[in-house]
Amino acid sequence: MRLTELPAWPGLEGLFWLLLTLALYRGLSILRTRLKEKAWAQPLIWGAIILAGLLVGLDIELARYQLGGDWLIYILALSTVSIGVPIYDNRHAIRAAAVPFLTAMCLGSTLAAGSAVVMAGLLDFEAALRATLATKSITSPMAYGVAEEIGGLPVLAMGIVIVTGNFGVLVAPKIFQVFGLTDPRAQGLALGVVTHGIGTAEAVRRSALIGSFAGLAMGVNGVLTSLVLPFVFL
Amino acid sequence: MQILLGLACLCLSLLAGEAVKDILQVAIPAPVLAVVILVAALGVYGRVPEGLRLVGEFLLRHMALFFIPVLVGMLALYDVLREILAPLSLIIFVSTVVPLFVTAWIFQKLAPKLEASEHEAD
Repeated sequence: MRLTELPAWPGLEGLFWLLLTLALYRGLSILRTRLKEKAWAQPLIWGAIILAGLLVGLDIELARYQLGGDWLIYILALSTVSIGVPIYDNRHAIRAAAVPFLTAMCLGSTLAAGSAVVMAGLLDFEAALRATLATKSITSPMAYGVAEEIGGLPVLAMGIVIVTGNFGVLVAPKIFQVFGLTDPRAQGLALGVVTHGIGTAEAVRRSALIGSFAGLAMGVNGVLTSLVLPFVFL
Repeated sequence: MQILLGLACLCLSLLAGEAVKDILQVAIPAPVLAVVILVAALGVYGRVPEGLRLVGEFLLRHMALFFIPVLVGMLALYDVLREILAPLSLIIFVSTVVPLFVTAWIFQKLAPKLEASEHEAD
């Protein structure tokens, strides 16, 4: 997200890739509805796989795709700011459950980032990769900025957050079922903290209450972690 | 027109975030500061403007679309990823499954007590 530069004009080729991305997203979204909202039918993952496959298969440089794709990335910054709206909407819900909410959120978030960093240390990952993994508890557009600030790899940080989100959404229902975690607020909170935007989008489909807690957890956790990490890593 | 106003709210928050970052010289990303500023501003204003709700809900609902180019961009990291794919998958697996359980479990343990005390306060 090179927010300080003007985007390059996408031109014929860039516009083609931009439109293809939009068309794939739309098509895959319709397909997911047809597949009864199956968790593995994520337009994001399959769209990216198809596009990456095309680029590799046709031997097209990534930079040529990015002429168009970058335009969508600029909008990500605005989507991130939009998280403020559900946080404001649910201010009463968080106030009512503030102590358990913040306790569970801080522990869960520390555990998600901490376990990743510690394991990365044990597996001999270099410093930049460890800093990158520290951001895996933050929603991706924020993770990009934080990774940049603490000396990680921004693109990898976003990628890891997205993969974590998709994987988390797949396994969460099983975990909740096996351990008898039936409180919708608890489920929403865990999805928001660990699986971020992707889990939140999934949670909204299940119920408004789960969704609002997930959105809130994602937003509050993202902001708090972003505020804390630079001080831990610098 | 409403949509323009909504976009303006978001851009203004982002602008304020960039300004605060520059002035305070903090290592916090501008979009994060912008969220804090937006929530504070909404608190002062007292409600969410119609246009901001329209734009905000649209952007949040279709966030996945804006992530697609990011994931495609990971092609550039192919060489780095190929080396660390197995350990990275293990790390992601553990650091996703465990916190999902722990976060939900702690909240579920703590939350009913709070509801009870609230009930008494009423």
